[in-house]
Amino acid sequence: MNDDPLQDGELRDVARRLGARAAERLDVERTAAAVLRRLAEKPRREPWTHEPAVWLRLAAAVALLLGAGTLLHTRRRPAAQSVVAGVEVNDLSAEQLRDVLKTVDQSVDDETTGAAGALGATETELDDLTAPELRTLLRTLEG
Amino acid sequence: MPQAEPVAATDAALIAAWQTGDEQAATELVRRHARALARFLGATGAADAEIDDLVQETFIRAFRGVGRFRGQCQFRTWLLTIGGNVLKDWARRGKRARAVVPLEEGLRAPDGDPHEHAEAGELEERLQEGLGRLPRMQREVFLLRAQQGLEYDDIAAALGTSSGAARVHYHHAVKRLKEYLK
Repeated sequence: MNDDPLQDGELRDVARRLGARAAERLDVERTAAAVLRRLAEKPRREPWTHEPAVWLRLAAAVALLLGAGTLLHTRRRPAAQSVVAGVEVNDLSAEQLRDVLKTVDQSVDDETTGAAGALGATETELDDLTAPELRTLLRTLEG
Repeated sequence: MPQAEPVAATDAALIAAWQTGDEQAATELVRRHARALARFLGATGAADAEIDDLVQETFIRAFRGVGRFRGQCQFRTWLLTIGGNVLKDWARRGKRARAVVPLEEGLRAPDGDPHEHAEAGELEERLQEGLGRLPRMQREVFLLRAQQGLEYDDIAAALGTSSGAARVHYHHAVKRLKEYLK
């Protein structure tokens, strides 16, 4: 036996009556006209994430950052790689290797002091190195 | 030969037409759903004097954001949940004068037992108060189900929850409301 004073059906009936007066009073045609007028008056303002200009600016900023990062990375890499690009180290003579290493030393010295210092210590001894030793040194510098 | 009755456009067709700029389609959607929305807002706690503004604001938000409506539920269910958000924002900005709608005078019949009518009105007032004490989810699920007669699946899709969770919210709402109305 259910001695609940308020049955589910009755609760639903009462709930259906809530707001009924407000609904009856509403002038639907006037509301529709007002909605359309307001939509026309205030064009939709897109969230900032939907604005193409913002995305273009963001994309441009990312491209600039990536470009700058790539450039910096390239400049910091030992120049030997670009100096000897396309040339097999084994094909170079001892003299050519010394020239390359001197060029590397020169260009790295201009860019980064740390690498230049390391290479500078070897510069004076380049003439004393054999061809295989020069190749090994060049490969080390190539990373 | 009998003339065929014109077939009413579905909400989906009206939405598609509105998206191409058909204002008549938007007007028809307002005609179809404005009163249900007003009842929902009234039951949720909106003051009578603000219902018109709230209904307008809800439709404006719905029409502007209609691209996000993917038919996951009925348009009306989606619209009512937007109405709930509008009311919440309204209250946050302090525009809502009061939380409880007064007794529905219009519901009282001019004849009949005055005592019976007064009791019915009191019950509505108490239910309104009880709804105001429920968590928002329970209140909305209860009204969408009990007042609007919507299906749990539809309610769940509109509120971004599961059908089972919607049933649980409804069950808790009914339990708490009955306790409050005792």
